[in-house]
Amino acid sequence: MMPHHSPLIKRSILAIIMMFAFSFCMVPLYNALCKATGIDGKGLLQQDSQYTAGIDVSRLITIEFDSNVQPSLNFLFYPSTKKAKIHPGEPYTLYYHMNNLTSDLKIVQAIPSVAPPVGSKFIKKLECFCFQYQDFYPYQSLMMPLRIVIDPELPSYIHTLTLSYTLFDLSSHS
Amino acid sequence: MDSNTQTASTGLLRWVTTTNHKDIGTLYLIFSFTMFLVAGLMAMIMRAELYQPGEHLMNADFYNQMVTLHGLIMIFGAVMPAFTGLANWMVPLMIGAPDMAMPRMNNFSFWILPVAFGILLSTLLMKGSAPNFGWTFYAPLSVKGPASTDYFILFIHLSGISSIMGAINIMVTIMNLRAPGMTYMKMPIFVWTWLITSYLLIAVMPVLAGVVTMLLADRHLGTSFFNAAGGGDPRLFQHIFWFFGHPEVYIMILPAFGIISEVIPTFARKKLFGYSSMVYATGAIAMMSFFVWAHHMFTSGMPLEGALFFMYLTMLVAVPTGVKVFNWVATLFKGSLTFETPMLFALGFIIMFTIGGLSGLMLAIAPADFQYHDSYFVVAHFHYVLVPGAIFAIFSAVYYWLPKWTGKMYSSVLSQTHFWLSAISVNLTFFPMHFLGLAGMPRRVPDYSLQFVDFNQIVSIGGFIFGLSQVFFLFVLYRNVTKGTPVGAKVWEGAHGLEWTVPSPAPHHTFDQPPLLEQEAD
Repeated sequence: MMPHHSPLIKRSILAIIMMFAFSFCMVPLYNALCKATGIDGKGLLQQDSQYTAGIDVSRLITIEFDSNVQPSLNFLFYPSTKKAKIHPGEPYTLYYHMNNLTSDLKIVQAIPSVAPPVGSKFIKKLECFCFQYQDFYPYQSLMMPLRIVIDPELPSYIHTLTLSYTLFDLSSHS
Repeated sequence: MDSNTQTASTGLLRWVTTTNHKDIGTLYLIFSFTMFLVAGLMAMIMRAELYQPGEHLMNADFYNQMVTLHGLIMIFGAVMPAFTGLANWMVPLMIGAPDMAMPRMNNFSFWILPVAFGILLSTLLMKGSAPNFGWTFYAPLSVKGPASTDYFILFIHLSGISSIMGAINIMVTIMNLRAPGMTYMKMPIFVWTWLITSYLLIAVMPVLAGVVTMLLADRHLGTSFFNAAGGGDPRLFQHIFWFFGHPEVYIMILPAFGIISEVIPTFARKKLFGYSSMVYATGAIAMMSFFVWAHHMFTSGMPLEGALFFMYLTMLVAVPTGVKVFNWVATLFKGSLTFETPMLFALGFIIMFTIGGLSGLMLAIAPADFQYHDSYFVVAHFHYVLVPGAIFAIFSAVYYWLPKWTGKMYSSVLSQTHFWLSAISVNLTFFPMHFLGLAGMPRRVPDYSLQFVDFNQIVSIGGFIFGLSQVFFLFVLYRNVTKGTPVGAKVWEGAHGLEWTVPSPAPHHTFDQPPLLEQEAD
């Protein structure tokens, strides 16, 4: 009986193993797709220091700055400005205030996210503190610069962009 | 059955060691009905809490545990094992096979289930709490879940292994053990739907195993699949989960379609209208199930193009489903209808499943879904397709084949009382939920605003009646066994198929010699 069934059983087991592997392949696939299309509001970690564009004075975009801290991390973290109205193509600079409230050496990184997510590829960063890890001595406080330009190619239906940073504790990872 | 019993063991051990497809089918059905009552009791506990606003009987955390366990047990413990049990009993009889292809694996795949559900139910007694994040166990909530979450992960693995083994067994049986002359396009529709369901199970249960494995790794191995702090993404969880989850909902309805397609022609005394279109429609629904998962996630954020893609594809599922409903109605058209209990449940299925299908179409509209999402409207939708959908189909199948199993006809008065009590109370329970959802009542809450009181009381009363009606079903079964009248081989005069050529009750061993198919040709 068994040899009669075995080709089919072998194929089924192979299919099961492949689907189990596929579920793990979805992780890099998802990340690659999100990076290629910028649809998850992430992918803002690259620097465009040479970026220039003509200023589009006909439009004024409201840009909101938001900050969050990972709940287990005792840090102060907030932007110098909550909201600004800027023309596309016009560079804008602000500062983020970070303060280590713990008595430990901390390594942190701020991870950006943009709402609406499609807006993420239209925010060009000339300079950002989010590109690298930050070392903080106990109770150290820092002002970190952020310099951005909004790409004039930003779709016309977008009037407001929210740039949010979440500060994560990487001390245990490094 | 006794005269023909040829098992090595007797008494209780017979049931533990049995490799007979009829014994194992019976075990599956008894187990699934037990789990149906257990999860139903949890629903009663929730409805008791929701009878009035405010936290009266329990705290929110216990309510959340009830929500989670009710969902998990109904899906993995009641609906799926019931279909597997029906397949075990009926597929070999319908295709003229002597038994399932792998009888020992069959025994193993059943006996994993009581262990798995023992593990799941034991979490109620644990320190901390039972799983309390809903059956969908979204990350990061489940990553931070109570300690019992690890038992839940083990439970998912075990019940997944059981489902996969059951699916392989059914698939191999159907593909290799059909009676000579039974080509694929001559198979009964119930067998066809189970063949397609077994493919779905083999394709997606490993994905569920994968996602719980990632969850386990995130909890204990320091990985960050779903942890944003480590570079992961909680939204990824939803994508992988629903890649399993949407085919899963078709796993729970395709065999029901097969049952209805067996019952309707019998009591309409006509051949099934559009047999081949039924087969292709089932295949089409199964294929499409892999490309619609993100309609569960419209509000999780996705680009407009993505929302449109998943919205249109989801609406397209209504086409093959519409073909099926059309075929059932066309089979009824000008038929010589009689309304025996299986037929009543089948007609109830067609009407109420269609209501659930239509609310599904409403939910498929991405912009409207932003309003309906996580409201009682969603609860109404999926209970309409699962209770008067899948569960009514299971009752229809049980009433259709019960005389074949026990050799006795049940009381038509009692069984029809069961139907009418169920049909009225199921609508009393789930129809007002549509209005509650549209009025803004969120799901998964133990407490609610005052304006929702009236409808919630109707829902609770309906729920209690529905719950008691299912206990009444036990009495119908008891009377069938003790006082039923004996029946012949062909229980229903309008029925066709190999299962009606064997005596009632079906002997322990059937089709030791392959049957001749010509006898059944009509």
